[in-house]
Amino acid sequence: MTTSGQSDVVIETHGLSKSYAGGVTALAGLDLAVQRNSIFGFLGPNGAGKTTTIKLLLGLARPTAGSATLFGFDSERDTLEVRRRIGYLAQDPRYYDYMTARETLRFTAKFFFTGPAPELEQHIRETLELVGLSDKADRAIKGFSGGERQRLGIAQAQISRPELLILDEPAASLDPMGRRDVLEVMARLRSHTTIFYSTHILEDVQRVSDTVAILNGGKLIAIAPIGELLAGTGHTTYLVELAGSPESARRRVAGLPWVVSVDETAAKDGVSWHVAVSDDPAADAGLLRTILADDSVMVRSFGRRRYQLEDVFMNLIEGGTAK
Amino acid sequence: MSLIASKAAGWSTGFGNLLDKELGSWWRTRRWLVHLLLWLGVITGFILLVSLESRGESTPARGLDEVMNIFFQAGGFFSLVGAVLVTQGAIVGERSYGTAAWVLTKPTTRKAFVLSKFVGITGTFLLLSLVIPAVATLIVCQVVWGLLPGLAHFGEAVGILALHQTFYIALTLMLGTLFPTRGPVGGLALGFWVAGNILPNFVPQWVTIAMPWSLARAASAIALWQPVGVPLWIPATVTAVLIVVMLLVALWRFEREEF
Repeated sequence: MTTSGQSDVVIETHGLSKSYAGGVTALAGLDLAVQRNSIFGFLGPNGAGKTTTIKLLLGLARPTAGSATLFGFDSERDTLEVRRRIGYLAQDPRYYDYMTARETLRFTAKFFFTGPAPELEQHIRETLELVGLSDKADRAIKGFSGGERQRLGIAQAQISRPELLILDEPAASLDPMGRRDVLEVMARLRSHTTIFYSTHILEDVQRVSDTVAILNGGKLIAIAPIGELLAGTGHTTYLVELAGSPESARRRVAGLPWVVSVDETAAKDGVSWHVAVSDDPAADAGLLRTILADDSVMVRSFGRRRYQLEDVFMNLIEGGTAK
Repeated sequence: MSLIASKAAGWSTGFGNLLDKELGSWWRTRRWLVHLLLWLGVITGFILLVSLESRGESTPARGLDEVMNIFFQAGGFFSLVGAVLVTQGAIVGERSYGTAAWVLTKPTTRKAFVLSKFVGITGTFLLLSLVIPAVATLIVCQVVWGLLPGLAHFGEAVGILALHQTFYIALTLMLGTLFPTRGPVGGLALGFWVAGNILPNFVPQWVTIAMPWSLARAASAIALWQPVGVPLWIPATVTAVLIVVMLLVALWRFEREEF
């Protein structure tokens, strides 16, 4: 029975696993919960198990262990009910080449709606307009560019006004303009749709996602709201670039009660410090003053370290933790 | 007025839409025209040429026999090969190109997917490769030889041949769910036809009589008012049962397919 309408969790997996003959494990015990109206970024290198997870959710493949529920429906047993509520865009979307964009949308829409015909056609027109394909609506999609196919993909995925959009690498094959368009459409749709999308483009995830899961080798290695993930170890870190002789300044800084660590790396004509602190206000007020009090160093730059998702991702994938 | 959400449930969910798409791939493109011209050219065109050639040397009755012979023997064979070629990519092609995976993320069933192909291909292909050329052949008979075969016999023979071709469509469709590429699908389907020509030398006669192979020979005999030689209900029933069994195998196998 569905819990749709009551539950804030749209996708829930418990120990979801997929293995193939020969002992290849594509997914190992995935536990996931995706909140309603979130943009959930599903990150991982190639072969991490992202597409396998999506196929399991859509009922295109069967799990070898564990289960997944979407809107409270079991992904295997109630696959029809699940697919009624989902719009899906494949990594390399393929459609019937002899159809036009309008025919493709009409074909898709008829799985979800029975009519009336004028309203259906109006809905198709609006959808074509939304993705900027109105002028190509009656051209066979055989001649469509990659970007046009992707826009058609987004159109067919959301023509049913789905409660959940599952997008597999939606911007991977697009140029920067196309990527921007896709991200804008995603941001526009979030008010009434939950978006679950896989990608390896970290910049996109950081720009639009509110929750991120990182998958590697079929295993979930991190899942957190994006802000929390970017906060890394939980300590705020300052990045300081110095010239001169920093030894005595470093001893003084390391001795401050709210300084957790000072990591020094060589930089051009000087050194860089990563200073992790446990008390942000104290550090804002006192860290730079403490360093400047030492005449033997010159401060070239100073500021809070803003972590990029790439730092976090690389650290997690390589087995470390975000600095 | 707002859009009305589909409430369909059960195995047939999406069947109508898929069948409409399947028929559209013929009738909303030029594919129907290409096939129509091909089958009219290969079957009726050939019959017309032979008829015109032999008109001065043959009696109308013998000419009519010759026409029936060509239609059911040669025409039947070409139409069978065409049926296999048309059907061999129906499942395999969609699976390898990715459209099957796309369609199956929509609210429809795998049973509807397979059966829409069977119904769409069978209906359209038999119309284009058998029914229309049959009508055109009757016109040739009337125009060139001035007489028509017994229409009830002719209709019965066309029906028997249609059952025979339907068997090969079902066989090819089933093989498409079992093999990943077109090669074994088309090869095994045509191999089955070849086996029908070889096996009578090696197996008891009742085996070949009961199998679909005897339908093609029976169709020709019925049209020519010749004795069929076997109780027709036996191969007809066996063939119909085999068609159902092959479709069930196809549905069972496709239900387990992973994309």
